[in-house]
Amino acid sequence: MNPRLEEAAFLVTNNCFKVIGKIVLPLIRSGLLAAFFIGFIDLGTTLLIMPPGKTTLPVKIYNLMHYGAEQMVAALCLVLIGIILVFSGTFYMAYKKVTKTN
Amino acid sequence: MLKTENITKSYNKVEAVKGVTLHVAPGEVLAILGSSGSGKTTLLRLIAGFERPDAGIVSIEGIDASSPIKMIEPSKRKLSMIFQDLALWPHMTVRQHIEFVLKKDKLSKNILNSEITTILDHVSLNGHNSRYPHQLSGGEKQRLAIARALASHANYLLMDEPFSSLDSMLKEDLQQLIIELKNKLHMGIIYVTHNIEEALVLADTIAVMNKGRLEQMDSKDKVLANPKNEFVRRLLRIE
Repeated sequence: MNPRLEEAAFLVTNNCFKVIGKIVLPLIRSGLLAAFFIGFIDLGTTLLIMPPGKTTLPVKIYNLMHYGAEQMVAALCLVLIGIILVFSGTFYMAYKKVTKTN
Repeated sequence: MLKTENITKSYNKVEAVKGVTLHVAPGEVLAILGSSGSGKTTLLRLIAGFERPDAGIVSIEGIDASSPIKMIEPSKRKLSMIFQDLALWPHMTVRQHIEFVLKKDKLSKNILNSEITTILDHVSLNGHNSRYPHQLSGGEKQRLAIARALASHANYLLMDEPFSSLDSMLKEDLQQLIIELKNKLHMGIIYVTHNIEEALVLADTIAVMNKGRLEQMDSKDKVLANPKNEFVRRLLRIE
């Protein structure tokens, strides 16, 4: 994001939350969403960049599939779908609220 | 009165601004002229409060706004700025740009609407309220940047080469607009440019910068009649 956009807002207000809510978040939302999907959901990228000892839910599911723990895999898949729905819904509603108050 | 006294700023031991002292009064246009890398933009950023000076003071209406030990937030300096790239918020419409600025004053809805109309009238942008920056022409974007700056009712306006990318006809129109607004609103304007013609049209006072130093500052006529040294003479293309 162009830092001038933030500076232009700080000429108007010194309220960081207002600048983040009205200027920064709406502008970086697509980047945030992409980072979330790549980091949390995309298995291949996560396997490549994940540090040793750390794991994400998709990697855990992948490893469990290897050992044939099908019921556990099904449960975790449900959890993953739930997380994505909650995250996407919250983000969508927050975005609608911000654009409406603007 | 907006003043800088011996203001100095370095980046990695390279002095971008070296002991610059200047002043601008309400209703006056000060053009800061200089080639690329002469420290003009850094000086504006120091005045706006985006950079902390290593030495010297920026004072606005007698109050110290910036010094190495004290910084007043940019929003409390009663100044506004038009950036070189305009820095329009791409997710906001024309109206939302002005609303964002005016909302800090907690105005009632009726007053807010009439203020928005008045400001957009000043810059002939009424009728474009619901357009986004990418739906505006180059000149309209400049007008929106000016309108946003006016909405804050600042005493001083800092302009960082705002018309550098425009064709000459559009540039003349906007220069005329700036002169009208200056006379109407009695704002002090610091106009940074490397274009001598722009400076001569707009300025009451000209400050010439070279390698971070202020070479000369005087009224337009005096600088043209008595350039202080060879650099000023060459920059102003005085025979």
